[in-house]
Amino acid sequence: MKKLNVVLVLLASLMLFSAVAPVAAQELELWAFVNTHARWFREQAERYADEVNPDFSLNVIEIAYGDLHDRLLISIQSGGVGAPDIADVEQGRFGSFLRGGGDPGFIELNAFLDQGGHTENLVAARQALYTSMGSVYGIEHALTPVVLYYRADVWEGAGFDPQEFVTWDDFVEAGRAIVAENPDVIPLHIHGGLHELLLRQQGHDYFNADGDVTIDSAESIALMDWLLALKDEGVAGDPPAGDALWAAFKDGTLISMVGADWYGGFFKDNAPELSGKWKAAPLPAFEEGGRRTSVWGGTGAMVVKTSDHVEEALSFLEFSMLSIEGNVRRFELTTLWPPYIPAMANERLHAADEYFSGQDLGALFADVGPEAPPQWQSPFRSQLNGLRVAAWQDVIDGNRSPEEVFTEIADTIRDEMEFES
Amino acid sequence: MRLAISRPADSTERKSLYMKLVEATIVYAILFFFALLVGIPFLYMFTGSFKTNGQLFSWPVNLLAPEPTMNNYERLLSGEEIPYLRQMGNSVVIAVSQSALTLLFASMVGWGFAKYEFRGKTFLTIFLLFTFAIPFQVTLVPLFQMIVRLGLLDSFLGVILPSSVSAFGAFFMRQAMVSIPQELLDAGRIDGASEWGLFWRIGIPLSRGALSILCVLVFLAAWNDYLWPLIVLRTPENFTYPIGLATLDGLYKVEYGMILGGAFIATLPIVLIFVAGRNQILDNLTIGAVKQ
Amino acid sequence: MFGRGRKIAPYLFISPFFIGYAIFFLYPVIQSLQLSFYRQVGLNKAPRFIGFDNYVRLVTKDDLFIKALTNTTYYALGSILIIVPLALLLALILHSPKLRLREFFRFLYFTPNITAGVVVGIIFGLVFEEQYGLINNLLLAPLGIDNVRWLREARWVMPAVILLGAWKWTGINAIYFMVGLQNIPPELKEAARVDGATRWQVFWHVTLPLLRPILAFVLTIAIIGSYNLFAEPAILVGLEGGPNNAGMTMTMYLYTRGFRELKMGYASAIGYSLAVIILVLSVVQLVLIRAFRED
Repeated sequence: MKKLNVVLVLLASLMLFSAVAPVAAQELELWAFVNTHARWFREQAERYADEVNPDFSLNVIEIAYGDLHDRLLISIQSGGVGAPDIADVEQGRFGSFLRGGGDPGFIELNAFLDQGGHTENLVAARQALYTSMGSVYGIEHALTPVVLYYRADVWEGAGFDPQEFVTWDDFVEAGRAIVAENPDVIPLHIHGGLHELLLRQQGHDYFNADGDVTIDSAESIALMDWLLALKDEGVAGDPPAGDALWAAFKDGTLISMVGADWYGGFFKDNAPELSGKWKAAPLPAFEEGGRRTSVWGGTGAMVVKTSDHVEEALSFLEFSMLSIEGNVRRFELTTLWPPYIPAMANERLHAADEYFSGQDLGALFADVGPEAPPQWQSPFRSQLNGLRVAAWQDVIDGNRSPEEVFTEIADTIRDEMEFES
Repeated sequence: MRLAISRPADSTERKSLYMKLVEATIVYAILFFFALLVGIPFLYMFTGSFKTNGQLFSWPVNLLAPEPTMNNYERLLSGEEIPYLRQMGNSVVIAVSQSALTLLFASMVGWGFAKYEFRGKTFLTIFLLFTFAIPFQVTLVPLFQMIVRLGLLDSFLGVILPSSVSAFGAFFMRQAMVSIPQELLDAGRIDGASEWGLFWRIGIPLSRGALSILCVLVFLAAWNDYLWPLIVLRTPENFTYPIGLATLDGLYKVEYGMILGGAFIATLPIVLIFVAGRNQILDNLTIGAVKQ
Repeated sequence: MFGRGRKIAPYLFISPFFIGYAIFFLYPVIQSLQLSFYRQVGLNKAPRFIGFDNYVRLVTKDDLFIKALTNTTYYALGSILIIVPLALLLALILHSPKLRLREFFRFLYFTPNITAGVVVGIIFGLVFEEQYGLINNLLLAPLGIDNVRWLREARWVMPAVILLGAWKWTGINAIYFMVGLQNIPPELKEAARVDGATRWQVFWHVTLPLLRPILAFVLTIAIIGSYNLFAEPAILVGLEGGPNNAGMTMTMYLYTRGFRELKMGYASAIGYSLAVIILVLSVVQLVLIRAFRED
């Protein structure tokens, strides 16, 4: 029996330890899935404690992208227990919270934004991403203007200045010349978001304002056909996946990137050795006088309905996300261009950026920003993206035509919509 | 046992030295080949923990780390990004408690099934077998809601309790205990042992082999579990190590070096325990079985 | 505490387990069975009873479900066909009494089990990487084979997952077989050898038939494990299963429908379909092995 006692004591002490071990939760909790956002939130929380409420403390928790949204959904599904007070929700996943047309579990912000006079200070097209049936649930972090990042040394060395490109034809022509010299180079790489953001540049999208699926529109199919034709020609290419992408940037295979404001920070984090070699230009238009930008990505900060500190959370968000100082500081830390109009003119947004060859990126974003096209939210977006990502390689490899694939995806989503209606 | 074997034309009973040599060569060639297949990913894990992402993704691919950097370990152990050592400690507490509880529950229920006749036994057996097939994911949402109701969210108990009732463990112990000779129990009863005493002094020692297999399996399952702790545990200080490492697999940047380093640190103590205790652990797998 | 009562004792022995089982498994399982007959989509929406609609839709209209079923079956067959013979081979070799370094090999083959699935997924991401991966560079390039796009081309995804599975599970199955081999009385084999049987004949007519119980155990675990496969493909190619959903397994499908799209009713129906499949396969497998015994 002695052995039994030893085992039981051991067991009991472990249980006790396990009951005691968890750390008491701090006052407010915030979930973020990007280290840059988390860093900024922590800094803002300190500033808020210094300037507004000395008792305020914010526990910023970094959780991987997929895990954050999955856990948040499960928490809200279970009545909000275990949910944070504030959460960053990526726009591509926000649709999941709207699925079924029920209450997404976040505080409706309309009254708060109206009373503070914030509604007109935020770019409406961005806020639309976090709006459902007229209720606003999130505050956007970034305008996400899309620009053409390019390796200045390579393009200029070949005698082209992408700042001078007016249309995509100009880009393609220059690309052809570069490839003719050096066939290993890929002037335009067709990354997973390219079709989507170019489609928005043209004023279309995978869903329209009424929530109908439009990925199978004539424009969408034609655009993909155009990209594939460029690929056949060698001007566009299929980039490697994951971290091999950065290796391809570093070894000079990839010499441009059609990306949003946040991609600037992304470059600095992943390819610091390319500092001084990059520049950015407005996107070439599809026809002269056409739109010179698009939008890609975006994340909204939301207050979870079951929070015990809704007032404090809103007050903190007002202080950080709806202030010039907060927005400017975020740009300095992350290159996210503010969606907050009063901050856009701040001179601190116009510092020379060493990484981008001393360029004033802020001036470029401010220049193209007002043209940013709208993007519509749909409860079915994350499912559509799942289907699209799965079929992507087949389309790129030419195994299946864009028309066939896009029609199939659209039909699947329409069928889902019907089944759930 | 009927042996329907025809007598072969040439007997192989006496093999030449030459044949033995050939045979040994083949045997060791196979063993070392598989050892390489198994070992190289581990080697890559170890050397990769001394590399930057740029070095991992460069040509030529190098299994060694010619220009090692300690940066990954420094960042990991400084605890500034994730409290990694604490997370490993959490994993130890959870895995040990879960193993102890599972073993206790499983051996008791296995004993009950193996050594007693009682009403409802057949029904319970079939029932258990059926539910055995139900994937864990089915229970995820209702189970999570229950953990919330019991106030076990973000606690180790919330991770441990649901995982320690293992139908697999129950079956496993029943199979092992069923072969314990009934005469031993009868003798014990004549000597005045209690039913619990029979279980504890005869059942448990005689199924040591099976218990050690189960213990190893449960411990490793708990040590490596991802989905359930991910859902239950909320704060980084309470995370287990796989969840901690997964936070380094970011949307914008994957910290390969830190992940590989963390994996190496987490694997090392287990390897050492196994090496030090291999007679007790892996041998038991077989000794226990022989005794049956 | 158990007294001498042989009547109550069994109930006392089984009750801790069954109480826990009822709370932490049965109750959620029943709740979710109920849910599978409802349409419950999204947050904070009341479920609506729809009878067998979810099940009917799964079988008749849901191509992705069928794909997930096919993928998972592919994995199950592939991994069983690789793992079982390999594990048996290794067990036979390791079982031989005169072997040097047995401890070393046995332990080494077991080590993949020590490593967390998340970590294995990340390491194998590097192993299967197209340009910088170990397989393409160290194994295929010396043979003059071009880079295989393991995780990008639909037809290579499952082979990659199967290789990962074989890497991870062969060792532990070899250990199961070693247990089985040690249970075979050496006299039986010796008797056969004395009768002049070749090694192969001894293996085929003595060893293998006696390994049937352990083979049944290994196969049952393999079937259940295969149909529950989740972490490894999810980390290798993402929860949607990568190109053409080629790596989408049934539990990944269940998880994404349930927790990404919040179709809890539908997800429950997927779970129960999965349970039925596993059950049928396990029974068929047990019957086959038994039939094989009565030859």
